[in-house]
Amino acid sequence: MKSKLEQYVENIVRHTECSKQEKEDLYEELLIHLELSRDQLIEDGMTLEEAEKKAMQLFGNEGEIGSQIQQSLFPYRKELMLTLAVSSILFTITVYLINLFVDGDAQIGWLTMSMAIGAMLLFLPLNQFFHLNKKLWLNSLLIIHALAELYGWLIVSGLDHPATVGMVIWDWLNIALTIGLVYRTTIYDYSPNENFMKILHGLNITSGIIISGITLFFLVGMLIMIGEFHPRMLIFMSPLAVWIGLYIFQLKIVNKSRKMAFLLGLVPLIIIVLLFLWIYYPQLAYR
Amino acid sequence: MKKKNIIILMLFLLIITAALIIIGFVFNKTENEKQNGLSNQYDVSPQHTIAYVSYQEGKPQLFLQNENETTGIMAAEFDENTMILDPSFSKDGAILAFITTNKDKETKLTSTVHLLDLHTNEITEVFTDSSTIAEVAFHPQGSSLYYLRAGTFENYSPIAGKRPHDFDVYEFHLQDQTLKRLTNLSQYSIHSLYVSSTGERVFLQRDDDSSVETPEESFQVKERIFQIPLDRPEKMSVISDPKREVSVFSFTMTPSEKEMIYQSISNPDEGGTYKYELYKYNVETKKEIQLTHIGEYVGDPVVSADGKTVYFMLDKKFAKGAPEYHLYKMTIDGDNIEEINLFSS
Repeated sequence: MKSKLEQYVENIVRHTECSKQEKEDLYEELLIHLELSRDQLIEDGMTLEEAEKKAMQLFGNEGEIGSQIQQSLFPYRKELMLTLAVSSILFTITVYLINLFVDGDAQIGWLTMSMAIGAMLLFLPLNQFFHLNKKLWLNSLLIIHALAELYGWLIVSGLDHPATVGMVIWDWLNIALTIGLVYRTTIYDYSPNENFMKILHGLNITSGIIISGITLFFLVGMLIMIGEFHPRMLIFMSPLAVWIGLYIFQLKIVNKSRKMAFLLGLVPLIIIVLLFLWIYYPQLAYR
Repeated sequence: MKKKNIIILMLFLLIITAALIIIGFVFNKTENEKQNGLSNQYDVSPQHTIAYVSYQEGKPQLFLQNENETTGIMAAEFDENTMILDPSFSKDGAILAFITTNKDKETKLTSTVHLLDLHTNEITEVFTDSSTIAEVAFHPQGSSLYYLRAGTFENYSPIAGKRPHDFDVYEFHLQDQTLKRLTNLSQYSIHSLYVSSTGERVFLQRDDDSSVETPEESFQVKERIFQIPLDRPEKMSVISDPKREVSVFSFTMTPSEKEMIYQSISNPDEGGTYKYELYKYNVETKKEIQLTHIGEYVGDPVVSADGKTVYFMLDKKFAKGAPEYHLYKMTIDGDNIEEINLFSS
């Protein structure tokens, strides 16, 4: 059975959004600190039970301590997540109702998905009971959320309503916050404290966002032209598949050859820059 | 936050979502019910009566309004699964032909041609066909109806949506109720059927694909205006400028048939949204002048029986969502543009 001190420290750690390893380290550090304090109090003449109680009293309320540690480790992360969740839920309800009453279009599938994602985004910062805050989980959720918000943008763009401009701005602020949180989650919050890895992740996320944007642009364009989904449209997903493959490959080889990983991380960005130059300044290619 | 409070919060979101879904089912409209407002389907009689089609929650309504009056009178209404196409007056303006066809072409193809007697306001069904009848026009003597018939509704290419295809010109004799196929084009698409004053020729707009030999060349095809002598349809020829760089779309002929008014793009090389304007082309002098400079979407020209006025539709929401059509008129030279207010009652 766990001692009162162990239970107390567990409660503190629960209030943080650390990785499993970080939580274990934090748990160990706090427990040692409290055990030393308890031992000192026993030496001063207290019983074991009294010393444990006093040590916890001196340390403070576990909820407050946990929140303070969370804030110092991940400044404003909880607030940002809560803002995004509440903003997205309100946006979804507003767009759904306007679209329903202006266009007679009930986007039930999008509503259900978007509300579910919003609820999960709300649950994550409030959750102190399960360990769910892995980088992969968070980023997957944020990326799916960005896609749902992009679909929301398509709905709003097709609306003939005075609120359209405001809704579009609101939607893009949500998307910007989501992308910001993806960068933060990958580079700052859950990465080894090493500049090289931060740069590598940053390169990959940037190219990933641009490639996803281009892919979606073509997919939506084809959907509008054809009016229905066709398996051949999946060919437009191939740049995204190549990007994912390259990203995974870089993470595999980064310990053996940092140079190679960095060069591979640069490849998609160089291709994107060349493509943009070719599209907007074609004369450069034929000089 | 306590576990209990989180559960309450999640349940609250679930209840809101469920309530929104129920509201969605109650107020959702089918695609057929969504159409509203004036369409671009209209005609003008020699007596200046305008026959136009407007939609009310998906239901097509045919209205008649004299140009000098302030209110239109509803002559026909159909259910929300139907659309009314191409109201066309007879030469004397006494009878109006129009087409009704089903909106959902995936399940079946059916079109009916109707005649509305403007003296008795009586509507009769002329014939029904299991196809898409896109346009109808009277023979100058009123003895028969010419029409554009699309036999299929499919996508010819996997990267294109389903549309009516396999077009040809047909004739229906009103007296003996017989029909005759006049052309053997099986054309990808045809628009704007116009019958000559003698009834010996028809004019129509379609792809000029006569010189296409490779798939690549099919992307360069321009849409032009053709005339077809009905006694020898194989002698079909282009009568708009055969070298025009930009396609021409909806068109009409002037009563003298020496000039045509057509729609084309005024800014093909600018990039951005295309601007559609009306142009006048003289068949004899081969000279073209641009009639409108509105900078939006102008199309569907109709020339008055005296040849002095051009009517046209302007879509004020082109490329911005559902169309919002307004009817305008101007002189045959493109002057004195003014809107005709259509008020439905």
